[in-house]
Amino acid sequence: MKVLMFGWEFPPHISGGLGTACYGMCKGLLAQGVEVVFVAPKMHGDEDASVARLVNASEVEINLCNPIYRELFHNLTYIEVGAALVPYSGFGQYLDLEKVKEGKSVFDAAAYTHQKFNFSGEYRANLMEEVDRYAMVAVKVAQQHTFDVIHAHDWLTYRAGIAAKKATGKPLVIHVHATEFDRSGKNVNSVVFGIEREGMLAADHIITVSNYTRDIVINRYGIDPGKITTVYNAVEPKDSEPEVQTGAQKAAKKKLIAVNKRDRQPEQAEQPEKPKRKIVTFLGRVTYQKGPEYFVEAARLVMEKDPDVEFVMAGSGDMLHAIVRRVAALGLGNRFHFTGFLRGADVDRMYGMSSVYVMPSVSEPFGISPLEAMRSNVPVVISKQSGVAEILNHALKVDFWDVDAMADAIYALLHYPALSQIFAQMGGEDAKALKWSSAAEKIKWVYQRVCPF
Amino acid sequence: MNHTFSLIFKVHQLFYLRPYRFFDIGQRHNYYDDYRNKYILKRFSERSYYKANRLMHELCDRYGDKFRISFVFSGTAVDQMQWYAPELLEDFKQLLTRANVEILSGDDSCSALAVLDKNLWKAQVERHRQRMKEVFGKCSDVLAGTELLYDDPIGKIAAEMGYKGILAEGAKTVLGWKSPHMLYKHPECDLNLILRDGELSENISVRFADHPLTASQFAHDAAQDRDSLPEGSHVNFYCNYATLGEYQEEEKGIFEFFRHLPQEIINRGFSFVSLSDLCQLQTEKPALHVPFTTSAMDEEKDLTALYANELQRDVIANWKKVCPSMRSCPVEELQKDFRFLTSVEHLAFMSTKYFTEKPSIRYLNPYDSPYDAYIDYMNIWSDFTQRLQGL
Repeated sequence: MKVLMFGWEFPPHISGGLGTACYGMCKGLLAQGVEVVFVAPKMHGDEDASVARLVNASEVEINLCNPIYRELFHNLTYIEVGAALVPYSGFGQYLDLEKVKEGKSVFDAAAYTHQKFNFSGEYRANLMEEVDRYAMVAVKVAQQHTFDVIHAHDWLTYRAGIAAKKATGKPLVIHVHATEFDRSGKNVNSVVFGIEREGMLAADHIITVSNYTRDIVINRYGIDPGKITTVYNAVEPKDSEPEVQTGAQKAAKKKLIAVNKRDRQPEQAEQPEKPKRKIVTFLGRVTYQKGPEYFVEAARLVMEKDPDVEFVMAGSGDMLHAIVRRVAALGLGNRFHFTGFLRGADVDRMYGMSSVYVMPSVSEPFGISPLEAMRSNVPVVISKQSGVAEILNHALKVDFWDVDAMADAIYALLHYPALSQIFAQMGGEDAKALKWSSAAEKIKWVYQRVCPF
Repeated sequence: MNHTFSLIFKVHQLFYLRPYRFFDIGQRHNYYDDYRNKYILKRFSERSYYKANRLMHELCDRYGDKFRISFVFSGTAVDQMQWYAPELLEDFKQLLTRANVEILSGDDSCSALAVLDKNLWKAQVERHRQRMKEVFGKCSDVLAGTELLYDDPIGKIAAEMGYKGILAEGAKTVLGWKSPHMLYKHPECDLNLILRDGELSENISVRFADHPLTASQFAHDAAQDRDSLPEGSHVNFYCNYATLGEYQEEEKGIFEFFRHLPQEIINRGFSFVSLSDLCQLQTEKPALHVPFTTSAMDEEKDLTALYANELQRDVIANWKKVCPSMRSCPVEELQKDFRFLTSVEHLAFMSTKYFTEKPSIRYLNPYDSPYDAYIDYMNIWSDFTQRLQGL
């Protein structure tokens, strides 16, 4: 069986959990005997090509004079997003958006006939334009390859999936990793909502990452429950992660390690034993969806009882400045640290230093990061409004808004060793039980259901 | 009738902090961006200090006894010169051997200790006076503290420490209708209050490039309210020495301005005096109450440059917290870091005011945003306090 998969990012160049999930899925599917042709808007050349055949959409040349485009895209008009409500958008990107607004149309024929389009593959202002271009490229890619089923991840690629389905008649499976309701709460961007619903209606089958998300798809988008299946995400065992550095970064890292060694040796000789620092970590985008402000309030409550606890917020996002202000206003700055966006080895280092991991998400379709923390034997506190809460037994679960309960859970994990040991140990087991191979098995079952043979 | 004019320059270099990450806490204790510090000192000395020193020698030669300048050096500037540019320090020493040049007392690290902890502040001022005597061989009995922070309690301590005079900002908020061109006295103690003319000074230090002035126009402005002052007009010009050539570029004519300034000032009937001579003048000195702290900073001339937002208030609260233990801390290394870390510029980088006038903040700011400055600073501060607690 062969799958044409449309994604938006692929490790090591990722900005969220989607890329990591795609990688694990491809690997799991390969083990199940399913071949994957993975298409991403932009490839950098250092991706791990052993798990899937990788297609770089930026290198696909399309000819708009081909009648199929007129047929498939006859009502396609370029829809402009009127506000900075794009997922993963940062604070400074609003200006970019303003620039792009200066008006372009997709069918500026002279410019796009026989052209490759250089996708940025990032969540930027001209996102909508890229989404539509991606759909056009998808047609060409679909014609070039043979496959049995189309699999599209998240709304950015739904249009590509639909276009490929129209061009080839193959069944379409869409994979809902997040919905607009998770990202924006009640302030839903209707354009994104429209694309999501369009994808869900056109799909032969829908995979959601949790029952929590499945309910949203049923209730908010009005989709027939019969064609929705939940497949939980998983985590890769630690040692099999793709190498996240490029050559230059590797060299720099080696140097850094050498420097570290030199710096540290004399210190370690002086004071061989240091009491372990109590570090509580938040790792994720600092946006409304992830609930960073509840983390700060819980931190305040914990620090009232135990001033020795340190809190770390790793990540960046549009709420970062507001959070920094809040931390300063509460006078926590000395014990509350910000690391900025972490990637690769730094993430593992962060988990390695943490005593407790907190995910206070307001609405989290799945939430892969607590699994990563548990894999490093770090006990976790997660919000009940997350998909991962459905499958984890050894995690403390609280409502995201209940900062007292959250503080209580953090304090307990820090101060009652029996509890934290059990959670660290059993949680690790919990996380290891979630394998991509079993998730892939279920995905394969979905494929078989929609395939006509 | 005796009209006087004083020229006071501040020489200060900040120890810029390196990007200090969370992972460094408890691991590494080198907080300073050595490369940047070296680079900035070099840039300043090439564009400003050497040329300005040469000009001052020239003016001393030309006007002899009729010309006077006062300098105030921050301890951190002296540290940097000793470590990175001894030849620059020698150049300053050369200039300071001249009788026309006076050196004032100040705070060692350009800290805000004057408003945080009076005991530590006294120790710093004392240390600074000792150092000036060691390095330059002289130090006068006039104090020019960090950003001219001043209020009545500060004046009282200065008088107790034996100072004859203190340089303060002629802030409108305390002066009201009164002129800054007069000598005032502390209401209780025997301390001369010498007030800076902020407007005249900033016409040059801040606005010279956009609104150029000739020396003669400047002298005319300085003499404006002279006739209404029966005791004579005493105008005090105070700015950063790097105004010459660095903050105001040579191409804009800043050196030419200062080259012609003494003649124009003298032509207007002023005589140059050092601040210690100014304290000796026997004129009537009315008392001036300064109930709240004034400074030379920003438009407001008060503490809002340091206290305005949550970030700065948190840092100040943290400074206050460690002050008691710093009084008795015997570790020289920690005392040094405390001095370097409490320079007020670190707070200025966290300012969210729209118009921060100081050029050192405007274009030498290494941070993308006040928030980055705060995050970086607090990481360092956590490491520092951990070391302090670990004693």
